[in-house]
Amino acid sequence: MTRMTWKARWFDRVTSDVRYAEITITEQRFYITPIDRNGQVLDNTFFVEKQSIKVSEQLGNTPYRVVIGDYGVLHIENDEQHLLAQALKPFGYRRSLLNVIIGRWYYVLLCLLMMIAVAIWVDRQGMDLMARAMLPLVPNSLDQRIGKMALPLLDKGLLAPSRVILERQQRIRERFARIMAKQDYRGKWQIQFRSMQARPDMVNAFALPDGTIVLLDGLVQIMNDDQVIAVLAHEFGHVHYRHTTQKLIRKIGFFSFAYMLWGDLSSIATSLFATVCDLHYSRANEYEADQFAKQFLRQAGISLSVWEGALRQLAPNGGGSDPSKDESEETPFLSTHPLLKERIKDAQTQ
Amino acid sequence: MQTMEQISPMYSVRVRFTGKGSEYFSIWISNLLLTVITLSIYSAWAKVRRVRWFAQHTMLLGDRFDYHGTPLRVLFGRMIALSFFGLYHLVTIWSSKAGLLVLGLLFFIGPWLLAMGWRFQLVNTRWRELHFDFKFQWRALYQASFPVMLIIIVPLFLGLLTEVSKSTQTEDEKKGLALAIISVPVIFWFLWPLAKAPLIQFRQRGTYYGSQSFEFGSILKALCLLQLMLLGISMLASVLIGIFFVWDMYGLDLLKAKLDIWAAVMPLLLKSLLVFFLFAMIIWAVSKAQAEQALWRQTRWRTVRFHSEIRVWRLFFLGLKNIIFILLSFGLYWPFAQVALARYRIESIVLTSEMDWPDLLTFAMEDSANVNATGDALSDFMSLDIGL
Repeated sequence: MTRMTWKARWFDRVTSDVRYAEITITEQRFYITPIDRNGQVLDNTFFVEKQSIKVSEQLGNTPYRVVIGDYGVLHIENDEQHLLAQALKPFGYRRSLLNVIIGRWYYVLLCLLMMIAVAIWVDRQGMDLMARAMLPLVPNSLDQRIGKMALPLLDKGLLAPSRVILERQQRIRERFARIMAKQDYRGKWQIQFRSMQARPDMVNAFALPDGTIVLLDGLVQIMNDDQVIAVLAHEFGHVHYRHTTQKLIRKIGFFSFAYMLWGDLSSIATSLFATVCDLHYSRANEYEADQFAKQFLRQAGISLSVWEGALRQLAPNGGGSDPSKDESEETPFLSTHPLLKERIKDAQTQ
Repeated sequence: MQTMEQISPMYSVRVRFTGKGSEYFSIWISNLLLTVITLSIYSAWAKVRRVRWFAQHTMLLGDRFDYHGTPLRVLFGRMIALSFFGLYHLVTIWSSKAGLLVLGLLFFIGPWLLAMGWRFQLVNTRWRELHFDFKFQWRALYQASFPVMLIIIVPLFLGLLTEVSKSTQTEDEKKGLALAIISVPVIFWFLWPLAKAPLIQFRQRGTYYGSQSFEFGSILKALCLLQLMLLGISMLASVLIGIFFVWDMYGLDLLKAKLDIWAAVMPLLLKSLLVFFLFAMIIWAVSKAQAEQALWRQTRWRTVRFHSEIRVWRLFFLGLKNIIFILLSFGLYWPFAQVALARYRIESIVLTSEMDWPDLLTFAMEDSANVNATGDALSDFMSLDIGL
């Protein structure tokens, strides 16, 4: 058996000057010969026993680091045939699995594919689950505060007073109030009528976390009272389940997800990522609100066809048109809501 | 003491970076995957792995650096960071005033956490089997942190004041307060070097390699000059963007615009965005390069002087190339970008010494003090990276 020798850089841990040594490794010992930079032997060979020797984990093609008792530390470069790893095995050197495969192309490809799969899942379902799970931690008082802040801001920048006649507004309010009184829902609510500053006939309705439901003129004008009640029911569903707060948590969630992705740099990237991914209530949320609306109507003694009618009114061409048409020119209400077809179908069932 | 003019043999050596983007990519992607799957628990291991990789690929005088922070300590530190925030939120729910108190407390131990973070990083870094270290006096720490804390606290205080006394203010008071708050960013801009310089000095002077500390001159003048330069560039940028915008608006067919505002304004916005982006890159390159040069120029260790050959225009083009490739690759170029940037920064560093290296490096070392991981994680979490 030929004994291999390796050249090593040798540090005594007292100075940071580098010394050199020639190493021979047996099953039980390290034989160390101090040499100078050119390979000339400087001193007698000494040896170190197995129990004083500790081999560190090694990554990539960096030198192997071996502690040799009180004599210091050796940095040994691997040889071309990689025999050093073999020689170091009796001294406890183990190549961790991760280090072995980390450079291989199939590993990288696998990680990449899994990463994409995870990203898709998180976007589809993961964020919802997380937001839903965190909802109990967020106090209701926060909902109130956000809602209170939101409406004045919207009034200033986006909304204008409603042109719906006051008598109709009152009628709708009172009717909703009567139904609500019979139901068992706790919590505050109020109905506000507004129109959009930029487009006064915009068809839309939305709910704020504090129970304020805003109906836009366009919607109120193309629907009858029954259908408006149905829409109110749907929006109140969002309030009841705290979907807006959930949306907010999802937004914050994306921030931390993006932070994870791109580490502690580029804050611009993270904020971009967050806004792009979160424009809507999730499909699950909309489905929940729809179910709430149906139940609400049932308890109020209003036919479910009213809700279906309301949904059809929101179809692209407005007013009882074919919802199977292409949704590329959706009204704003729809562009943030999931497939109209599905929802109408669902509205037809009990 | 020999001056630079005297003829003395100068030994100089460059720092080398041997890491390749392709190598780092596999580490990056597996870190990412494992971090996401473990809901960020793995991030401690990921960080250690990353820092270690960069350290081990940095070479000086034929030997690599090494980093041996333990992931568990990093994780522990991150848990503590998380619990601080949890505590703050819980307390705020109960009472917003108490929450403010907790925030104040966190604010005051901020400098300590920062210093602890530096300490953790340095003590776990070694070269030629000797460790770095960070040592400091409490008074020096808070003296150095005071300007930064002031700069943070004044606008907060003003904001708080506005909120609290909103209803009881007179019109004049409101105007005065609004003016004060608006002028804060301006003052902030000018005072920033004054805040940053003492902290940098404090950090550099507290850094040790073995038993010898680094020395550091004054970086204040350089930073002030840099701020003025940046101000000049920003003003130029605003003027240019303004001119472009007005020019385009003038040539805009307003009738067409009424019919579809979006299509008319979009190219305008895109152009402005592009110019803005280019100037942002210029500002980034200028500040990073100048700061790096200033930092190394003032740093000394025994008779070793440091020098960075980093250049603004090269950094600018590197940054531009990185961003373009990152966008084109949907983010996958990120690790390559990190490596390219690190390589350029690190390989621009030159060390010069009057003494030959072997003679210089023969000296005794003291034991490194015990290590605290908490600061590192918390600073990380809050991105309190005041370093250049």
